[in-house]
Amino acid sequence: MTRLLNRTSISLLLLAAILLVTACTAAPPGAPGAAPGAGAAAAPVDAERAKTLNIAVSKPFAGTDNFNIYAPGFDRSRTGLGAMVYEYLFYLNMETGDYIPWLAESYEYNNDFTEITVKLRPDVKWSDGEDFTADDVVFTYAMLRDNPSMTWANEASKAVANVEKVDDLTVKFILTEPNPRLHLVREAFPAVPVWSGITIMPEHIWKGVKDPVTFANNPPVGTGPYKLASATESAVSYVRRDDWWGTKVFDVTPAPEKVNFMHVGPETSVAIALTANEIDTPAIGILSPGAFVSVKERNPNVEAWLKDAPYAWYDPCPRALLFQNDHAPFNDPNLRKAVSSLIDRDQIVTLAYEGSTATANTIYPAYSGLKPYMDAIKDIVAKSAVTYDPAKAEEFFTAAGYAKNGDGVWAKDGQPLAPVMLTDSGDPESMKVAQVVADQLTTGGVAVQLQPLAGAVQESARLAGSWDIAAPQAFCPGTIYEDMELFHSKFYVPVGQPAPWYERNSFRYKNPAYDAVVNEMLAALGKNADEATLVDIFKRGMEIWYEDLPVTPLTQAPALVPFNTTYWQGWPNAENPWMMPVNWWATMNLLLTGYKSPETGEWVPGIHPAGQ
Amino acid sequence: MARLSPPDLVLLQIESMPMTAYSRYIGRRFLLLLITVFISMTVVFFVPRMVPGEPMTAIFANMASVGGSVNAQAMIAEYRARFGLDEPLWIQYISFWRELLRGNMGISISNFPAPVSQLLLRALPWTIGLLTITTILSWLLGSVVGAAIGWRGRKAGAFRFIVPIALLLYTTPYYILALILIFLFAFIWPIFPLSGAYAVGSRPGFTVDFILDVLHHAMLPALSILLVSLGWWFLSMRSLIIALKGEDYILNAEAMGLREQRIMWGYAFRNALLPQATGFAIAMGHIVGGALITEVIFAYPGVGYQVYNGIKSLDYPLIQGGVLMIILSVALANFAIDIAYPLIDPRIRYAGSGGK
Repeated sequence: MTRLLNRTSISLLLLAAILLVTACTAAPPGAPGAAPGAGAAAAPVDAERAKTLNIAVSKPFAGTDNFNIYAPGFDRSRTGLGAMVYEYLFYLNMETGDYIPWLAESYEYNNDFTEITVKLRPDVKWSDGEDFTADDVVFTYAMLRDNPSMTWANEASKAVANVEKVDDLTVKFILTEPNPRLHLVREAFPAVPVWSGITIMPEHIWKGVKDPVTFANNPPVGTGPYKLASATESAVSYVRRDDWWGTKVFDVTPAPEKVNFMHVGPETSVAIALTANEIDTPAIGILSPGAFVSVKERNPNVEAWLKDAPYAWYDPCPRALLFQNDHAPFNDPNLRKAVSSLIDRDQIVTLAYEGSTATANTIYPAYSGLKPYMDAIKDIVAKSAVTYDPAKAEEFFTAAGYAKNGDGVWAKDGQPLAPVMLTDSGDPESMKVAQVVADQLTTGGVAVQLQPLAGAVQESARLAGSWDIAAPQAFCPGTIYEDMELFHSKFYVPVGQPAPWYERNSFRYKNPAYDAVVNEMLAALGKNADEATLVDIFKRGMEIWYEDLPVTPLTQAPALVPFNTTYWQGWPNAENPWMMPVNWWATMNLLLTGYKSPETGEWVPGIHPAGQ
Repeated sequence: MARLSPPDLVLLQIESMPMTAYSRYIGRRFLLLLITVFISMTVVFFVPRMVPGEPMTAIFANMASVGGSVNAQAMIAEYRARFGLDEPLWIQYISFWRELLRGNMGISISNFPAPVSQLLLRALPWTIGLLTITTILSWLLGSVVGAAIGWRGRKAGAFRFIVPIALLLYTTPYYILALILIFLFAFIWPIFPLSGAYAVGSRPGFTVDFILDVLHHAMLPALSILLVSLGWWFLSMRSLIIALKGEDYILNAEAMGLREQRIMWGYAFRNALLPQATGFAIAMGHIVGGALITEVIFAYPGVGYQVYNGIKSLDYPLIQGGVLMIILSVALANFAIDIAYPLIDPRIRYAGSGGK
C-alpha cells in the first residue's frame, strides 16, 4: 500500500510539474504578450470573427422561443433584445447627461405638466417595411391598459391616462397627475436609461394577438439596426440589417455585422475566452478584479473604464445596509447610528470588493452631474454617523440604553443585541459584503446572526421585512428625486406583506416631515425651479435623512466591464466618457451606432474595427 | 457443463425458470416501481410548497428590477391564479395528478410562458447523448481493463502504472479536471472549442457539418466525464477480480486445467460483473438528472441546469417535471436490473421460488 501511495504521489507530482511547465512556456494563442510590442500588429486571423461582436453573459438562456419583451419571465438584460431589435423614443446618456432624441424628434410638456406632446421622427420603418407611426404608440399603451399582467402595464396605466394621436407623427400623452419627470420614467414612458422599459410594439403584428402576455413574438419585428438570427441555450445571435432606417436618416451603419450574446461558462471560462480574444466584452459581475488583472497581464488589449485599480465604472446603484425601521431593536435611530459607526467601509472595499470600488457615505452614485447636490450636503454628511468611529458608536449605544454585558456584547434590559442579518447566498457579492460586515459588528459587540438564504426564499424574505438587518442592498436608479422618493412612506406596507420593491421601502421607513420635503421637491421640479432651489430642498431632506439614518450607505457599486480592443476599438472609458460602458442595458445599441450629440449637433461615433 | 460458454449459461437459466413465478416476480417489482414514483412525486409536490418563499418573485424579481412594482400584490394574485396556486392545496394536488396523467407538466413559472415539457425535452437530448455514451464507454473500458489488470496482478508489468493513474483520476475533483482539460485543449493548444454544444449562430439540424460540429464540441465535456468515472469503474472491477481470484471455484477451474483466458473472462469476470452491473444501472438511471457541473463549466445545454434553476426559484412545475424524469429513469433502471438479475446471476433466484 505504501508503495502504491508513493507511486500515486509521484505521478501527482509529475502531472503538476508538466502542468507548471506548459503553463509557463506555452504562449496563449493570439495573446500579444508572446511577441512583445506586437499588440496592434497581431492582426485578427479569422475574418468572420472580425465582423462579429461577442458579448459574454452570466447564465445560459431558457425559454428561447419567447421574444415578448412584455412577458414577465422574459430575460431583458441578457438577450439584448431591447438594444438590438427595439428602439426607444429617447435615450438618456447618464455619463454625459444627454437626452438623445431617437425614434422621436422632440417632446414638450404643457404648462401644468399634465400632458406631453411628442413629435415622432419621419421615415422610421419597422423591419418588415411598415411605417412606424403614432398609431403604434397609441396601440401599445392601449394594449398595456387592457392587459395589466404585462410587465410595466400597471406603471404605465398609473402614470398615463391616455395616449392620443394628433397626426401620423404626433402623439399626446395625457397624464393622470402632473409629473414633470415622466420623460425619465422608463416604466411609463418609452425612453430608456437602463435595462429597458415601455417599448413600442408594431400594431400590425400585435393587434390580432389573443393573449399578449403569452404571445411568443418570434421572430420579433422591431425598428432596430439588427434582427434576430438564432436563439439557443448558449447564445442569442443578431445580424445587421442593411435596410435599417437609421442608415438612411443618420447616414450611419453600426460596425459589427453580427452580435452574439453568448454563455461561455463560469468566470474561468470567460477569462480564458477574453484572453484568447473569443469575447469582446463580458456583462457585469462575471469577472472578479483578480481575474481581470490576470487576463490583462496575458492580453494587454483588454482594458476597462479606468487604466488602473479600481478599473471599474460606477453603476448608478450604490450599496447600503438596510435596518428594519418598523420593529425593535432598529426602530431606534440611535441604535442604527451605533451600528453604522461600527462599519469600516474601507475594509469592505478591500476585503469584499478586492479594491474594485470606492466607499460611499450617500446612496447617490459618484457622477459629476450630481456634484452640486453632494457638495451642498458635505457638512451634514461629515457630522453624521456614516463613517467608522468606534468611540462615537459607544455614545450612540449608551444613548439607546445599551451597556456591554459580561461577554462584551451590547445588551439592554438583560437582552444581548443579536440581530438577524439577511443576505443572499446566491450572490457572491452579497455574501462577501455580509461576512465582512458581520465580522465588524461582532468585533464591535453586536452578536450578529447571519441568515443566508437563496433564490425566491431570499427575495420573499427581503420584501416581507422580517429581518433586523439586510446586507447589502443596491439603491437605484441614482437620480436625485427618484432616490429621495424611495424613502417616501407611500411605499410603506406592514412587515409580513411584500414591500413594493427592495429599495422601495422594504426597510419600512416612515417620517411625515421627510415625505413633505419629497413632495416639495416634486412640486419644485414641476415648476421648473432652478438648481439652487432644488439643491436647497435636497439639503433639507438630507438633514432629516441623516438624522434618522433609515439605512446606512456602504460603497459605490462597481461595474468592472472589460473591453477587448483586439477586434473592436473606440470603447468608452474614463478618458473618453462618451457613453456608459454597459452592454446589458437597452442603451447598448448606441455603443455600436453612436449618436448625435444634442449639445454640439456632432455625431459621436460608436465602436469601430481595430486598425481603422 | 464445463463446456458451455457464458451465453449458453444464460439461456439455460431462462429455460429452467418457471414462467409464472418469474412473471409474478416482475409484477411485484413493477408495482413497487409505481409506488416509488407515486410517493416520490407526492413528496416533490409538497416539499417545495412548504418552503417559505413566493414562487411568483421569480416573475416579479425580473419585472420589478426593470421598474415594475405598482400593484405588485394584485399582479402576484393574478399570476397565482394563472398557475392555480390560489386553490386549496389538496385541489392543487389532485389537479397536479390529473394533468400529469394527461402528460401535461404545466408551465414554468420562472420562464413563463414556456411549458416545462418544452424546456426539459429541449435539454434532454444533449444530456442523454453526452452522458449515455460516456457512461457506457467508461463502464466498458473501466471494467475490461480493470479485470485484465486485476487478474494479472503483479504479472501485469508495465501496465500496473494504470493503477495510480486511475486513483489520481478518481480522487481529482471533477471541476479541477475539467478546468485542466479546458486550459490544455481549448487554450494552450486550441484543438477543441472552449464551451457550448455547437458553434454560436449555427442552426441545429441533421446535416453532416452540424453533427461534426456537435461531436467536436462534445469532446472535452465527454473526456472530462469519461476520465473521472473511468477511474471508479476500473478500481472497483480490479478489486472485485482480485477478491474473486482466491475463490474455490476459480481454483477448481484452474485444477481442471482450463485455459487462463477462459477462467478469467468466463468465471471471474462474469461474477465480478454483477455488482458492476448494479452500479451501471444506477449510473444510467441518474443520467437524466444531468451533470450540473459539466453543464456549468462547459456551458453545455442540459437538464441539470434547468432543474437546479427551478429549485432555486421555487418554480414548482419545473421542479416537479425535472424530478419526475429523474425518478422515472432511476426507477426504470432499477426495474430493468431487477428483471435482468435472475437472468445474469446463476446464484440469485427470483424471490418466492426458494432456489433450486
